[in-house]
Amino acid sequence: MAQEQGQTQSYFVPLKRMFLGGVVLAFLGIFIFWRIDSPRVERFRAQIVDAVIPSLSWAMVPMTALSQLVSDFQSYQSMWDQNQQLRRELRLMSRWKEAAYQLEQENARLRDLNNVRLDPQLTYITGVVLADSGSPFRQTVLVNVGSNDGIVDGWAAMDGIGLVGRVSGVGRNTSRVVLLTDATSKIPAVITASDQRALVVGDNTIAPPIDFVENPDFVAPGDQIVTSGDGDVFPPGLLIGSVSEDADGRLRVRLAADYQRLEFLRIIRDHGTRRVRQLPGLVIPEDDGPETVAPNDGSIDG
Amino acid sequence: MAPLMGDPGVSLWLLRGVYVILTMCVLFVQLMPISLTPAQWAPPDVMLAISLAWAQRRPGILPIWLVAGTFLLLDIMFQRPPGVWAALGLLTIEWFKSRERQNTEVAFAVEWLSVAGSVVIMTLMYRGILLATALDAGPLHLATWQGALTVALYPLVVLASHFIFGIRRTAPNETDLKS
Repeated sequence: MAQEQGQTQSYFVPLKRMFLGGVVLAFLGIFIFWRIDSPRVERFRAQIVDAVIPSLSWAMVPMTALSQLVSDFQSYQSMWDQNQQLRRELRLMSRWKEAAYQLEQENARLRDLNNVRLDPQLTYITGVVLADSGSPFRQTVLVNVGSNDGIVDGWAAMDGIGLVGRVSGVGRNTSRVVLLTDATSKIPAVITASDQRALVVGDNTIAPPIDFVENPDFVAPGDQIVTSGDGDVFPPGLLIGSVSEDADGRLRVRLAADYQRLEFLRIIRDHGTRRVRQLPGLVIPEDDGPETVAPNDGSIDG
Repeated sequence: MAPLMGDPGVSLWLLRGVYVILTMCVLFVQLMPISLTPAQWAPPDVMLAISLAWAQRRPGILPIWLVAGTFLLLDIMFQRPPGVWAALGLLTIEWFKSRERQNTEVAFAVEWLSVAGSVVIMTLMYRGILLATALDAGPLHLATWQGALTVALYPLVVLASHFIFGIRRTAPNETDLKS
């Protein structure tokens, strides 16, 4: 092939130019098409990722485990310090545990009195993190559950404690979770202590800033921040983290989820049942019980 | 890799295979979920460095379809806007390939400088296109890191290609090795 081309190069050059031009135009066409109709191309992208990643995961999973082992090994050096710290934390925790038991019992009694049924819709599917975005410009992870497992675009992903991100892009066996730290992530949230609405906006740093706070004067560092459920993005009340202030005095979230170790993610099933269509007003329970006045914002009832 | 050089056709296809395997390795390493916290630096674009080095030494290894396919796959897998970086990379590599025919003897410093210049131009055009289409191009310091590390990696790639895969500049009379 190489020799043929050497002899007939003069004929090939214009043809090659045309081919090159065609390919470049096709690429720009793909880009423009993606810019106009992003969901369709992203679905195609999810299919390709879905085909490639599981075939790599047989090797990727042990390699990742190995690298984590190495980083764990490095932490052995500070084991004694860690041990002491853990003992201190454990003492503190056992006090909290006692308090939690008491509260749990009280809670159970109160629930019994109220005859509350917990929302059966908030169940979850657990997935293993297969891969990250591969580029430092995007903060996303790929988990090994997809449309075959019933995952739907837009569901929330949590680790054991806090919100991690939002499902965006579902393949048959994998789905992509856009982390809260990604620059495209915007989550409506509420600061529970002062009931201030805000938006947690990712900016490619580990502590996403809190924007559009109604009145920042009421917000203090350490306040808990949870999802508000506004705009039907997420179920309300999922823990995001606590408020902190950076050196410039800007409010940021210290995320509750442990981003250093995201191995398993819980994808929260969300069937959107909390959507309230009628205007907020009196809510009269179906069965016996006292009348309750709905809160001003109809979106809180999950 | 001396025996590979015996039959140019076979060696070309072998090296194309090596190129595909290297692409898979880069994909594999970069996609490993080791650190999920936002990084303060960005890894180099290894495939760009390899392609630029090989395009100037053995352009026959890298036909348009192979480079186009590889770069589009990387765009898709790395969550970039599909097509933009691939088109820029393809054009740059083709430019270096066509330049290779005219002068086979280039001082390495000149070659390195031209590679650095083209990486800078690619990055600027990429960000320009994203900004022009109202897309977020990402933090500038990450792009700077990526470009700088790609340029810094280039001499290593050239050395590794020379000693591991035997990819070196061909003398003008060895036309059979070129395509």
